[in-house]
Amino acid sequence: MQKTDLEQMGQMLTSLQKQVTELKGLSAGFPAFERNAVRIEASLNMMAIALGRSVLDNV
Amino acid sequence: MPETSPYWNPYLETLEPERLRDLQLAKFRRIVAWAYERSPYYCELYRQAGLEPGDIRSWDDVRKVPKVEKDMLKDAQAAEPFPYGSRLCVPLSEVSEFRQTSGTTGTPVYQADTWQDWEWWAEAWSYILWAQGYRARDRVFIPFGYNIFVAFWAGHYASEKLGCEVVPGGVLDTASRILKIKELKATAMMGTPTYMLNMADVARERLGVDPAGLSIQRITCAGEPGASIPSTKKRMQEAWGAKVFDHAGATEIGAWSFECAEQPGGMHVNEGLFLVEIEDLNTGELIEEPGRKGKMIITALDRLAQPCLRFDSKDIIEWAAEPCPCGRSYRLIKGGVQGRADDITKVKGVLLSPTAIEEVVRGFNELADEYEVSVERIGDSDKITLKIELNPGAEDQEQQVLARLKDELRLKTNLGYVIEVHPVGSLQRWEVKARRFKDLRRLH
Repeated sequence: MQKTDLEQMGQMLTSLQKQVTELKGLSAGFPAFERNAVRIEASLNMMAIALGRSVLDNV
Repeated sequence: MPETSPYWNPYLETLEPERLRDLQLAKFRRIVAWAYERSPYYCELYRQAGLEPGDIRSWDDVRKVPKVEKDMLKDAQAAEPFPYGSRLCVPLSEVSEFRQTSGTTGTPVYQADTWQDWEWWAEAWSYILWAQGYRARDRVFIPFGYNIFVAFWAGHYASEKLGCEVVPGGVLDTASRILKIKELKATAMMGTPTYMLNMADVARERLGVDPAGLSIQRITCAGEPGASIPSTKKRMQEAWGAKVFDHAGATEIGAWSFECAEQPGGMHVNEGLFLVEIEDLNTGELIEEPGRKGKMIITALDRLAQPCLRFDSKDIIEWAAEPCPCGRSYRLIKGGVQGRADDITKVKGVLLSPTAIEEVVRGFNELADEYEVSVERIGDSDKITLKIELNPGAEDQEQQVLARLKDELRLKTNLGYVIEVHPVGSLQRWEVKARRFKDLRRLH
């Protein structure tokens, strides 16, 4: 795994995490969106752990 | 990820040890702060020790964080909120999973997990299964009674995550499970060593099916140390014609270790997700060098609902001297979990570990899989009775087998045994976790 690949993955992940957090906020009161966003958020956090971050970085 | 990657996580699993240690320390500090701020139990525990999360700056500081033991978890559970108590770090509305310990040592511990924690369980199991060769082509049969015990639940979810086809063996009885494996040509399965041997017996004796002739290629064991005991592992591998791998985990902790495809005679600690310390049984001193046994103190670094920080697991482990040929930088523990501090008992002044007896008994082809050991006090002396079964065809060699067995037991454990031979099939058969060692001295 190249360092540049890991860095790019990390940047894209951070961007996705921000988007999903926003989406969760926007979709409050729309369970079919909000609850799926919660699941996506959990999956993104597992990707963050995989890159050596703490799961608490996004809490 | 190319199919050829031997690692579930090519980054973390090959990280240089120094960087891995830095990562663990950083995560440890975060999870301690999380627990301190969110859990009345941890806050009080650390305050009483005069510790604040900001005090943890180095590895020496990690050792100052108070350990927790199972009884402490049970005490914390009695507080609010019901049913988890004051160790809980999230609102009850965020808890999505309930599991509990078996309660064999008294009151069970209830374990809360958020959905994210549950994803984390599956992630930890994904390391295990990938390292043991599970891939999307596998059809995984799970002969487990899905229930309140965590057991193989996360193995199910991780198999799905890897893209495997999962067949839940749920409430089927043992014979039906074997027939379903045969019918579907399942390629992998999971279970306790006791149950894997039991299934093989049922296949042969009740169904007339040779389990080695079925399609199972790999088996993941957990719940008991058998898959790291060479003689038990050999029995299972021969019975099923499959590679058998060990894994150790616990409800309160998570899936913290795994044997890789190299079968190096030990298990890797998943050091990206867990911090394992080994402590001398008598002095409490930290053991960092290979070859010295101690008890495991473990922290789950990313589990949030009900963190388990510096948990005194009572598991006896030791670091291996050599790195694994698989290339992972995650350290190996030699021989897996070698016993439990509370199982090791003194008999006639000698420390006796039940796993040592299992290793000897299972090394005799003339003996059946089941055995039972009891220790009782007769006058001022301890008497150890070992009940065994001779396999059909071995009856005419009984005296020679018993003599060899006594010799090997004495060599391995430094103790003498009264050996009773019982008819094959007459000793208790266990479905899940076996309790073959009985210390009757504790009853008096």
